[in-house]
Amino acid sequence: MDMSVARRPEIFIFITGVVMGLTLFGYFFDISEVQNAVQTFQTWATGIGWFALALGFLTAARVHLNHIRRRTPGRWYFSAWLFILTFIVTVAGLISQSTGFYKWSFTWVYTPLGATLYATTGFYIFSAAYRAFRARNLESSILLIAGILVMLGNCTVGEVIWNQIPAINEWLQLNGETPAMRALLFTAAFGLILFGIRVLMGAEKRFLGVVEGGGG
Amino acid sequence: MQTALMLSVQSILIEGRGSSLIVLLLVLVLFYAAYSMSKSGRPPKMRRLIAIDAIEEAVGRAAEMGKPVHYTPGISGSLSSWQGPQMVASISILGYVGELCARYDVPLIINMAQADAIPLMEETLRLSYLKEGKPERFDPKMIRYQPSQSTMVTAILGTFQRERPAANMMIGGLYYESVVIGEAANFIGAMQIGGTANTHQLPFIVATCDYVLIGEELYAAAAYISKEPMQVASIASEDWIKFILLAITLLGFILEVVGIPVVSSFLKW
Repeated sequence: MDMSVARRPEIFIFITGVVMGLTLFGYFFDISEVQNAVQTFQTWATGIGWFALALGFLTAARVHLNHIRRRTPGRWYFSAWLFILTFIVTVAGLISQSTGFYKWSFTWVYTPLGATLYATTGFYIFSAAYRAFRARNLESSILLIAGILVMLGNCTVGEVIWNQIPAINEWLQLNGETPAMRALLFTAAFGLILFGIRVLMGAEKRFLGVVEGGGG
Repeated sequence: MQTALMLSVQSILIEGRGSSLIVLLLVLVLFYAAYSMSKSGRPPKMRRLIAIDAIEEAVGRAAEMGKPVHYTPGISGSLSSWQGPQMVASISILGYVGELCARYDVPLIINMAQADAIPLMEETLRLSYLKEGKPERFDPKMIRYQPSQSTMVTAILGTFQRERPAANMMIGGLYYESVVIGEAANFIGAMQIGGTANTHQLPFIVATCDYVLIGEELYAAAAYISKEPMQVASIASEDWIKFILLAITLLGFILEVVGIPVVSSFLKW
């Protein structure tokens, strides 16, 4: 078969539409044939996901191989290091995932490094809050006051200053934050539904590599 | 006949999902109505997405300064996870950013952490450059794969210090990286556009970014960019359904108070 035919976007749009349509139907209606088909799609999705992951690794590996081959200044030795570590971790993982180097590298190298970086978030939040909480107008002043009350309500010193601060904090979070967040979730859910409908109908094509007015 | 059909539908309908089905059908009807209006030359009014309008400004700024544009979809999650749609929406927006970068000859740097999305991203960008008539400008090396969240954040901090991008866009399923990347970009004076449907990260991107795509705007962005009748219709119908459901919520609130639980019963159907 001509490969250009197999790459036609209509084929991808058709497959996406059929899979999404049946999955949606199976969500609402209990018909054994449809449920079985949906189950099969989910199994396929897992398999395809792993293939996509392998393809992604190969794409990344190609970039790094190019760095090594061309001896890109300042880069190539990091690319080489990537392959060395990939090899070591793969072999260690194949030998045993619960003991040895695989487990050790995750427990004593990867996890502490990740936790260290995560710990820096507090400082970034502090500087972001410093810029956000400025009393420039009425709205930002209200935000500032609410922010201070919530902050004090979440630490023990708040109760020492005034014993009603924890109650105010709880009230603000329950009656201020929760409804606002629910409204955002509500609208995001509808955005997602409409996005799904656009994908289902083949209107959303960019992620398939189809660009209006050109491309493929 | 109609009663028999209703009974057969009722018998196969999964309990508790009836109201969702009705809402979905309502969405489809409104979508069709908006689409018909668009096709007949009376397109429904589409609200502006200022953050999307600002993308061209950000790329233009980078072109004037002779600096690159940085883009990240955040940690998101794999395409097959529940965060997948945010990743797909982000790739659609990236396609548009790629077109603009190709048009204005601005280097584009992408840091991402989802291996399964690399081929999709690469193909989208390749076609964006092709559309602008500059396929030779596309280089797969512009997509920098980082294998995890912390690694990606560290790499982005390094990228900011070394390459000093004029604009930073972080659009997708963001987690704690949003505040770290946002603050680091502020430190180097980059113009920032953020967007996520992860409500727990919205305060951070609002605090750090100049322009923000809040929640559903992330999904609407690609439709807004294309301005196709079907895409415009989907945004308009989304706004209509929101107003209708807001009215139903208020009605349900009032009826519940006076002891008529019609709406709450419907939601449980």
